[in-house]
Amino acid sequence: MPDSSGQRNKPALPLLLLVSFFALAYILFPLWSIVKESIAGSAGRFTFESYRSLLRPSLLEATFNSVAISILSVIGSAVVGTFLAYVFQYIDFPAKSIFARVLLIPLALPPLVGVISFLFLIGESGMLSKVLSILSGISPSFFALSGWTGIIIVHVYSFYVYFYLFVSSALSQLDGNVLDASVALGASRMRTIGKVLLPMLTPSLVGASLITFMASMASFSAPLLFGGTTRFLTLEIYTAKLNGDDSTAAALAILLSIVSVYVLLFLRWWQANKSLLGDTKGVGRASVIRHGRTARFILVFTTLFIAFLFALPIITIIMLSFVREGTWTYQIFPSSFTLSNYSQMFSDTNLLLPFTNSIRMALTATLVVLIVGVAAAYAIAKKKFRGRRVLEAVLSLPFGIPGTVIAVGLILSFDRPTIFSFGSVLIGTFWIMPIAYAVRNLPLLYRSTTAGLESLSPSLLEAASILGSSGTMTFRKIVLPLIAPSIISGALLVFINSAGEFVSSILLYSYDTKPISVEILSQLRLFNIGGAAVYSTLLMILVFSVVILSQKAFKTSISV
Amino acid sequence: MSSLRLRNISKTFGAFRALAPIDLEVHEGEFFSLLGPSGCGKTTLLRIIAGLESPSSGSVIVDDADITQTPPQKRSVGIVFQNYALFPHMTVFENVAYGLEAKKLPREEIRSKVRDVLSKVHLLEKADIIVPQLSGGEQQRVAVARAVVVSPGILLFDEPLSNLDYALRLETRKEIKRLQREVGITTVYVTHDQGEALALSDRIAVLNKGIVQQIGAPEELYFHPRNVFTAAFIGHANLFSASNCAKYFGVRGIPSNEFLAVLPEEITLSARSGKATGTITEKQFSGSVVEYTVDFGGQSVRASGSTSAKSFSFKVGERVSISFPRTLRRKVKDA
Repeated sequence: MPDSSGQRNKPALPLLLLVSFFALAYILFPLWSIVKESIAGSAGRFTFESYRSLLRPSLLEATFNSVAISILSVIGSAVVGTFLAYVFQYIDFPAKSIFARVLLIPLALPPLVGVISFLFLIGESGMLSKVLSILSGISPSFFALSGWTGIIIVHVYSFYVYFYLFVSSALSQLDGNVLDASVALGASRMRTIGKVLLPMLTPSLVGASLITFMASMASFSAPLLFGGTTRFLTLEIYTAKLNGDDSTAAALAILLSIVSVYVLLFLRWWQANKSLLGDTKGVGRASVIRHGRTARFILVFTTLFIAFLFALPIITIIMLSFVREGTWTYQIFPSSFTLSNYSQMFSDTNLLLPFTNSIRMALTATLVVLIVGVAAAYAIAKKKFRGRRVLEAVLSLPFGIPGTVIAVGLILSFDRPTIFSFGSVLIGTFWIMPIAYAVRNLPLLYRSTTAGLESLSPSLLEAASILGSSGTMTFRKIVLPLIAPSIISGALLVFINSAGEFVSSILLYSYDTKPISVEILSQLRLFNIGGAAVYSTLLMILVFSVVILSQKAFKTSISV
Repeated sequence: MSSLRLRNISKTFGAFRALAPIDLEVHEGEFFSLLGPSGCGKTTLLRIIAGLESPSSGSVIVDDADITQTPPQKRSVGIVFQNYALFPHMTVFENVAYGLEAKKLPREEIRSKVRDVLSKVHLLEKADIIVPQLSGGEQQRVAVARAVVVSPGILLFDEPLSNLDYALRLETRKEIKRLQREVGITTVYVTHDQGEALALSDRIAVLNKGIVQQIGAPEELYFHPRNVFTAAFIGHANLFSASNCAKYFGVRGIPSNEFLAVLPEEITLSARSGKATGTITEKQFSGSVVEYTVDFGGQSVRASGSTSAKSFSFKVGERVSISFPRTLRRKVKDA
């Protein structure tokens, strides 16, 4: 039914102006700054010199490495994620729901904390490496995972969740009768899996692959800490920027963005065109999927082992936060535990500063995203105006653009006074990081709010207006209460992401505004393992208490 | 209570003409139905009356005032949607009170009005229950209560029974009629179910492809359809061409471009041979009534009769002769 109720077509001008300003100033303008920088020669002339430098062997190697590691990460994540989704959908075992929660930990865990905990576990002096070394008598560096293997393991740990969630939801929506029908028609079990089950899962597998690929391309912390001397695109951008080679950084940023945005566009197109699951709600499990005792034992055992591996890094880091400084380097397991790391932290306000910085900046970013994201979602979903599609595309853009690129764009834009920053320099101030966090997370809240609005039946709004309700009353009493859960879960996710954000922070922070993630890295560089572990633990406590709070208080679950 | 006049109302969506210019009048207190198959434009017309859709041409007049440009908030109409459109986060009471709150009535008055209407639809004891916990039938009654509590001049129904099961549909039909008579409210009722329209309405407008086929009281439409569409849609009438009438049934005087409409219950089947014979292809037994489909030289003829009549019992495949009273003169034009 065409939607043409005369009342809802007039866009609310202030809302639109606000959203457009944000999109123009903090998304488009920084991207333009990067483009401008990449073609700026000396004396203000255009040049493609910086693009020619992309053909340098070192940068070609970085491009190749980034693509290769992303493909390997996709394969690894697909295997682990699909396996777990299958087991959790089709096999029952004790305490299943607890394990299901453990498996979702990487979703909320700040990426840097994940990487660091792996470092303590399987790095050069990691505990697992040492144990294996003692058991075998070979030097621990043999077992230490560094370079490619290390990065892939960390990526699989962080990104398998996409496969797990996508495939789980596909399996739960899948009509089990379809599989039964295949067997009833005489197909073997293998044929049923190959010809019926797998094709029905393809859309989810492709979707998860694209997202994992994008995330791996944009990954920064894992290559930084595990990569050693191997070159990757994100690292090259970072290094070029630190070395003051702005034009190369800009050209690399554009290369990386083009790849990511292209994958994003492909993902959109794919999702719009391929949905095989139809409208059927899951009609239970297919009775053909049955496992023998041995098969079940092997599957469950493997699952529990994976869950244990997933919990191990977190256990490690919490344990290390209680280890007395300097007592652990040569032993396998630390022997002397103390609370001094914590007491030191809470007695020295300087040490606590990164923590409060992060909370303040994350809160600011969340507030900005709330205002801009809800206004944008409401305007775009419920009003009609020229350029609606364009605005929507611009607002979704940061989802495809790596954090490193966003940071470079902001630096190149706001290291001088601009009208978008009301005539002041933003670099070095409190504001630059909340802006970066807001830009990076805007698509998230925008999408969760839009999903909420789309599930709102238009006849509800019509019913309200026929009952004499004004636009304001309808928004306040009908729209807002009904989409509140979507908004709240989106906002909490924005807060969590911002509180642990590292990738753009490392380029944007200044001494006074150092966030907790950057401080963790500083502590690590000072070989202050206890300190790094304490900060990591505090960050994890913050994040997980927000997650638990949201589930308890609002009955919303945080999901991607 | 209001009267409603539609003058020259039309609606086009791009190149698609949803409604041809339509003129019709609904009297004060009348129960008026818009009846037609899906896609005939009946819902569009209802939405234009409500102000949810603006017409491409023409005017909507209520009590001699032109309200074509009036926004829905300012029109005195109530509407019951097909999916009820109840506010899912509110209780029954809050849903019904919503329109009164929009009018900024004093709290005490709201309370008494809501309680009053809830007792009329037998939902008083469920006032504090959240809407999704109600059954389909109860939700339907809440939707009606919410629409009538603001005492609208006109009450609109958009296929309000289509989400209910058959038994409940019959019962709710009676409830709606009772309530409408009690409140005495001018009602426009959209449906595709001709049985529903016949049972409920004072008058019916039959729509097809955006064009009003005929307006009249239920009996009039049933026994005196003016064209082929109305005859087939309302009474499932059999249409015999002028030549067939003359050749097989001895009925002369039908113009060559018209048909004779014969209702299924007017057809007599018999085992004796006659001029017009056919083979029974289908038999549908539904308790008190049995209905046959007869293949009559390529035309499917429908015949129905009471199962208590002994003479009306045949098997599929049996040859029968078809007849009807020669006095029938129900001539219909091809649309």
